[in-house]
Amino acid sequence: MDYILKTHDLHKSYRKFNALNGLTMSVPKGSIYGLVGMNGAGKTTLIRIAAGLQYPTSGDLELFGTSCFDDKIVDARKRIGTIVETPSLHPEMTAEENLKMQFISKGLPNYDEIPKLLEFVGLKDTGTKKAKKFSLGMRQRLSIAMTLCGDPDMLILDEPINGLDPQGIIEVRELILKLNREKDVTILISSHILDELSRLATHYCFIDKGVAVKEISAEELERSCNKSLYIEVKGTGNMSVILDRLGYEYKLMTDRAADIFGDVDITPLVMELHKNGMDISKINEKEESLESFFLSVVGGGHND
Amino acid sequence: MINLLRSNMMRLRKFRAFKIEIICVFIMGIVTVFLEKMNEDSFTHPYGESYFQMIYMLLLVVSMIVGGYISKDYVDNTIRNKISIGHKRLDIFIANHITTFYIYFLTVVTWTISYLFFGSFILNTDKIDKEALGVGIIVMLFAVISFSGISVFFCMTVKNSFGGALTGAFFYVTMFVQIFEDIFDSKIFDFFIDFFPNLQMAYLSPFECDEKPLLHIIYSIIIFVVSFAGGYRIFRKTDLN
Repeated sequence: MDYILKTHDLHKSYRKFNALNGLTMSVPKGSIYGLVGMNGAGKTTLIRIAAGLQYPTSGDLELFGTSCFDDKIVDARKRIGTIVETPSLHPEMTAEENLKMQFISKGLPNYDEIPKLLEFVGLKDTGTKKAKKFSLGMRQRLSIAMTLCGDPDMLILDEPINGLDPQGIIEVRELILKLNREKDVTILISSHILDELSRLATHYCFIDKGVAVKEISAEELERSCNKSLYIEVKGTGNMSVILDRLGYEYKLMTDRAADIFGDVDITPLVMELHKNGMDISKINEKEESLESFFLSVVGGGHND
Repeated sequence: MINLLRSNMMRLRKFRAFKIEIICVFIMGIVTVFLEKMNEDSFTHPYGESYFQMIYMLLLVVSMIVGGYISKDYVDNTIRNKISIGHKRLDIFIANHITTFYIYFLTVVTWTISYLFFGSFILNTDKIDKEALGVGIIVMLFAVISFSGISVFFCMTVKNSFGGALTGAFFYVTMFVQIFEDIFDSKIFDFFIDFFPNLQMAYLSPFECDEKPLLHIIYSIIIFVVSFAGGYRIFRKTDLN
């Protein structure tokens, strides 16, 4: 498998705080790679190092096979578009002028793409309105447009849907999927909105305290997510005796409620419970979400 | 590098303080000429004397504007756009030096046109020594180069709007050397007057040739080289947000 971005035992320290603690991960070519982690887990630090804004304390980061310590890394960076946290815009310029600045900085020969990009991100009607008067969502859209200047091979997006309205979130999601599917653009995306990330990512990296605790593809994740059946009963019988007898793996939530794991044959279960003086008062199927998987991988505590 | 310079220039065109400054310098030059014309008979200073003296003061003000311009890139976080799209830090640093020099240079050119060139048509230029003026302009241009070196050093080291204020404060503080020199008459203060670019300019005159032009030029080059090398060394390793 080809990898666009790889890190090997990456460390980054700020005085006494270790933001990255030996992070090793690989972003496959053509993937939408979701970075999942709590605040302070090291996601933005990783993105800053990839963008060249910061240097690792030790370890290495490779972009398109070029080490971040190699002088040729600047050529590799010409192939990526990056958003780091808040949008980096020229506040006294219009959306068009901001894009023009990006085109000039990148040395792109003409500005023909600018109207298309503005339309693409829904900013074509902003006219002479300056970026400083844009809402956060508009600024976020403009920074997405800026990352798309010059048809990059990879996008690194740190919280790209922050501040977007629901319609904007859907548009950005569709845009990311379109770029990935139609233009084979590899995307590294960090987001706190795990539900949104689960609709996009083909691969995940769970980061905790500067370490990649789990790297997993979306397919593997789906397989590992436990499905369960939640039941609540009323009556006098002992539910655990019945569940033991039927050979189910289960977890009692209360003496009248349980999560039963694996494939459950509902009819015999209901009949057996009824025979033993218990009637089902509530039943529903539960599937472990990305959120609960994340919590099971990194634990529910908070980073200091 | 060309791309960086082009984007810096586009940003400069949008930088209102710079536009206002250039217009003000131009108007000031014209007004100074007319004031000197109105007082031509009673005026104790001959035409031309204000040339270097005003540049000396102007550059102190412009150093704040330069600081504002450079640090705006950090305040708006747009400097990270340059790095993340694959520009070398050295290129960014050099481009900022060139742009800074351009700002100072354009101020000098504007003042030269509005005061010296325009004034030469309506005021008596007899007392101006062409050689002294020529040598003074050359020394001044090197001083401007070292000005830009110091400005970029402070602004790209401090990385926020305080950088501009610090540059202005630095030049302002060095002005006290002139006062100390008058009081103490020490050789160390003579050295400082020769060494600092703003103080070199304070003693330039279009009527008398600079006595140590080569020394002043060498000092300006030394200041530029040291501030460039030191500034780049810091910027090369700096973590940006």
